Parts: sequence; C-alpha cells; structure tokens
Amino acid sequence: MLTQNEIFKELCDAIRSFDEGNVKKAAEAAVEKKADLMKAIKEMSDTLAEIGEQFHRGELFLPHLVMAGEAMDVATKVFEGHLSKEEMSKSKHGTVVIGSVEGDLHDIGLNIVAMRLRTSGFEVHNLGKDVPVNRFVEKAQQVGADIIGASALLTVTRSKHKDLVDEVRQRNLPFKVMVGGGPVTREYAQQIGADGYGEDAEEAVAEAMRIMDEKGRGK
Amino acid sequence: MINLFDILDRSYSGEKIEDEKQWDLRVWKKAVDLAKKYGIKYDPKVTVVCDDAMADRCFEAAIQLLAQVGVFNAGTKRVIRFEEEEIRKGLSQLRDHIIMGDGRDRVILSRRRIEAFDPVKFMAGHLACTDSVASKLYQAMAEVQSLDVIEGFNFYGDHTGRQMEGMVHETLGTKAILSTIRNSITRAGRPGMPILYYPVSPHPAAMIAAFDPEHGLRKTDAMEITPLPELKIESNLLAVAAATSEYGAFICSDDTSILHGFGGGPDENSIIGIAQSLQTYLTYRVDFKFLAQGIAVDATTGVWPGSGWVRSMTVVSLSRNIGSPIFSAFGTAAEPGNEYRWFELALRTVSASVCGAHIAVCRPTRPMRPNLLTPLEIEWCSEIARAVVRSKISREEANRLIMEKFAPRVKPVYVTPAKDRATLLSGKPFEELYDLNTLKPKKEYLAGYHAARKEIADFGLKLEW
Repeated sequence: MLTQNEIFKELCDAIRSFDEGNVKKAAEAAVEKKADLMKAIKEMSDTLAEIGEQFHRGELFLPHLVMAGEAMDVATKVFEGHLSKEEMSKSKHGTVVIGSVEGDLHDIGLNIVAMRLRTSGFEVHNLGKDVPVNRFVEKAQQVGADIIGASALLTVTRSKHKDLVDEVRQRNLPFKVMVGGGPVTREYAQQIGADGYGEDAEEAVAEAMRIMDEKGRGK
Repeated sequence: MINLFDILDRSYSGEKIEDEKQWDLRVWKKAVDLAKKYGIKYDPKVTVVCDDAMADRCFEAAIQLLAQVGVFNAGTKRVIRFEEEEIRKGLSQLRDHIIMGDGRDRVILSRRRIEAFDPVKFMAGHLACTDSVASKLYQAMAEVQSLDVIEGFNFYGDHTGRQMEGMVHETLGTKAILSTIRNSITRAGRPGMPILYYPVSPHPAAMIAAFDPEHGLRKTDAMEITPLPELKIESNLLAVAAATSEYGAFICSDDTSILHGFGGGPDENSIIGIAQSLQTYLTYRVDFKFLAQGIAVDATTGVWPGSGWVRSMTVVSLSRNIGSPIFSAFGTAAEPGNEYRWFELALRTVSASVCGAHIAVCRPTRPMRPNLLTPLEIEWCSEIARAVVRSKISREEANRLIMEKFAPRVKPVYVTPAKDRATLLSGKPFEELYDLNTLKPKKEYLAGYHAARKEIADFGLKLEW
C-alpha cells in the first residue's frame, strides 16, 4: 500500500510524463486513501509551474504545456466530487476567459498566454480566435470569470479591445480586462482603460496575479 | 494539381475536430515521431544546413506528415486529406519561374539552386506605415534599383483622419494602400514594378477589393495569402485564392511554423514548416513563397541559432526538392538604425543566398511602432548577397562565417532577458533616419551603415566597393 507522499509523487511524475492514464490511477488512489486532496492539488500546481518554467527556459514547448494541463485536469475531475465548492475555488488563483478579438485570426501568443496562466494555477477558458465582444462577456458570466484577457495582432483589430473595455464598464460587469498582442503597448492599454497589460506570457501571468491580489484586497 | 472544388468538398466532408488544440497536438506528435524515424536532428553548431541527405529526408518526412495527418480547415473545423500520390503529382507540376510586373520593370522570378550562385532577387515591405510617411518610404524603396518586387503595408493609426478599422474601412483601406504604392513606384520611375499585396485584413471583401488594373493590383502583381500555422487553412482565404486565380494575378503564401510553440523544437519544427509550405501549393495554389519558418515563440529572438537552422533546413529542402521560386523573409529583433539590425540582416542574407532563396527584407519581427524599414537596408542586403554570389561562398564557409563572426556579434540580442531588451534593440523609424525632402539617409545613419560595412569587410566578406 502506497503512502500519501508516494501517491502524490506518482501523480506529479505522471503529469511530468504527460501520462493521463497514470494520472487518473494515482488520483483515484489518492481518493481511496482519503489523502489530503488540497495538498495533492497544491503539489500538482507546483509541478505545472515547474513545467511552465522549463517552457520559459526553452527546454519544453507549447504542446508539453497543453499536455501537462490536460493531465492535471484529469486528476482535478477525479477530485471534484470529493471536495467542497469552496475548496475547489481555493485550489486556483482565479478564472480567466481569454481569446483573440473579432477579426483577428492570430492565436499563437494567445495560446501561450493561456497555457502559462493555466500552468500558473488559473482556470482558463480559451475561446480561440475571432471572438466578438459579446462572446467574451457571455462566457465570463457563464463561468464566473475574474478576468477577461483579449489579444490582437493587427493594428486594424486593436480597437476591439476598447469596445470590450467599454462594454464591461458600461454594463458595470465585475470583470477585469487585460489586453496584449503585437501592436498593443502599456500606454495603449492605459489609454483605453484596461485593467492590465502583458507584453509577453510571463508579464501576463504576473499581471493576472497582481489583479487577483488587488481583487482579494477589495480594490 | 488538385481541383479547388475538391479541396472545398474535402473541407466540408472530412473528419471534424471541434477543439483546434487537439489538431495542433496531433500534428506535433506525428512530427516528433517522423523526426525520429527520418533522423532529423538539430546541431547547435550548424545554422546553415550543409547535410543534403538530411534535407532530403526532412522533405520526405514532410510529405509523410501531410499524407498522414492532412490539413485542417479552421473555418469548417474539418480535416482535408491527401493521397501521397496526389501530393507528389501536385508538387511535380509547379512552375520553376514566373514573370511579374509590366514593361521595363518586368522581373523573371526563377527558382534558385543551392550554391549555383544565380543572382538573388529582392523584395521589401511587410510593415505598418503612417499615412504621412507611407508614400515617401515607398518611393524611396522603389528608387533602390536592386529591389525587384515591392511588398505592401498596412496603415498604422488613421488614414485621412479615419481609423482603418472595420470591414468598410478595411476595404477602402486596401484601395488606398495600393493606390499609394502605385503612385509611389510611378514617382520613382518604375510604374511597372511588381507588387505583392500584403493584406490589411483577412476579410475576403477587403482582400478582393485589391483587384483593380488601373489603381490597384494588376494581373502581373501578386496577392499574399497566409496559412495559419500549423498545417491549417481558412475557408475565407480559400475564397480569396479562388478569386485571385480567376482574376489572373499571382499568389504568394506567407508560410510560418512557430518554434517552441505548437511547432515544437527545431527537429520536428523543420518538418512541420516544410509540410506547411507544401500544403499551400496544393490548397491555395501558390506561385511563389514568402518563407517565415522558424520564428521563435519569443519573436525577438529571431537570430537564435535554432531559428536559423530551421529556416535554412526549410530553404535547402525546398530548393532541392521542388521547382518553385522562394523568398526567405527576414524579420529581426533590432529596429532600423540600431547596430544589431545590420548584422542580423547580413547573417540572414548570407544564409539565404547560399541555400537557394531570394530575399524579402522586412520590419522587425515584433514591431512596436510604424515605419520600421529603410531603403538603405535593402541596399545593404543586396550588396551582401552580391558579395556571397560573386565570391561563390560555399554553405560550409557561410556556416563558419556566421557561427564564428556574426553569431558572437549579435549574441547580446538573444542572451539578454526579454524584459531588458527594449533599449538594446531600440532604433529609429524611417522618418528619423532619412531626410524626407531629399529621400536620402541622414549623416548619422550613414555613419552607422559604414561602420557595420567595415566590420563585415573585416569578417572577410568581399564587398563590391
């Protein structure tokens, strides 16, 4: 019979090798053992963060981030019925709805930001490319998002960021809006009244963390 | 060649994949397997590929990737499948040259062969321009006699006081951009100079608005159609390809594979990148290529040696195995006027010239402002390419030159952390480097050029004067 620590080690090793089958087995073993599932989630999140760092150093690539994220989702699904809503909510930094704005077919940077947020402990709903403002808002309302992240790579689509910010402000919606992409600068983000800006994936993660910290402090 | 309607039929009847990520993973996993099977291995000491056997294996692996996974139509979310035989047959029917442009400005754009030392053709553009600068920059570029094809631009900010956003403005913007280019090349005394239209937006209405023999795109010009990385196309762009074919203009695809992104590491990325180029011959029926393979996820590290290897592998592999003209496109990390920009452009020029590509000179890979290209940079690349061709530099020599001389020179660009690079890479836009009345480079800018030129000569490259 494996100890709790041994089960957690198997769980994290399976995530590191992107093996969803073994992740499921280890997660089920953790449930059966009545292990501390919040601790298991913390260890898995640390593993994901470690994989994110390897990506940042150029040792792993985007597919590895995706596979690691999917492997962790398998475990989280197994744990779901055994954790309270409050515990599930505590297990993540926040919820982000993300996508490229309407008319923009670029999604490379978007996918990287989405996966880095995911590996940094955020629940991420990636709507992909060419997303109209109302779809961002609908999805954010549906999943109770904290942040909407919008990307644009064309100078001609950049203005959709402003439409999104205006929509959120005018309807007094509780979401923070982060923007990014090639032609987008911090000055532009401030000019349109966005709550955050990331020049690259690492900055986007740091910015999302900052927003969540401020939210937690009621700002 | 496969009939366009066949491609459309397959776009509506193939396997459905709702989550595009699953497609990306499928392509990458298959490419990883093929890289192992075909022995494709990146060597950090090599940035100019000299191993022809590996380049041919990489080409074969790309055909297998295309035959085994197909192409994803992101519009219909379905997979378009190809038989291996129809891929090979389609590729065997490509034209090895096309004639672009009108009158005395006509250009024969031929397939270049590796180390055959045929003259290199030049194309430049592919940037965002402000309304006030665009016509002057384009006239000054057209005045560079070594520039063969001029590529379009996008308006940055407003045009005649209006933001170029939304379908109506994008459609009118297309016409305004092409009219600006036509006027500029006429003022430069080259009215028949061929144009590659760089779309202001991917909307078919805006793209098709380009067709206008009087003020817009002529039948002797070309439309640029961009496939989505990795092995994806879009229904709307298929429509543009069909309309362009029917109009009679040429088609060029801007092929990309993202290194460290879904395109993975250099080994598998080179296979995906080549397959990406092959598929656009079959789907969009392109006549020539604008190759942008090997762009790193962190776009500013365009000179990272792995990125150079992927591009070189793509060019060598395509040059050896297909008969179609290709341009290798150079984005850089540094901005014009920055010393690193000269060396980044030069090293890419050396590599492309010996590997069998023509050269497209572009703005920085991640432009943070408009007007980031100068005519002097086109002249610079052209004199470097002429030196390479005239001296008959081999790929081995080119690799040694780049790894021993150029790479250490540009090393700070790719070892400096991204957050600290802004100052290191900062330069100036065209309007600050040129006198806009005379369209000549300013003294300080010329001094930077001469300093770089002297260093390059000290590297052992025999420049013309």
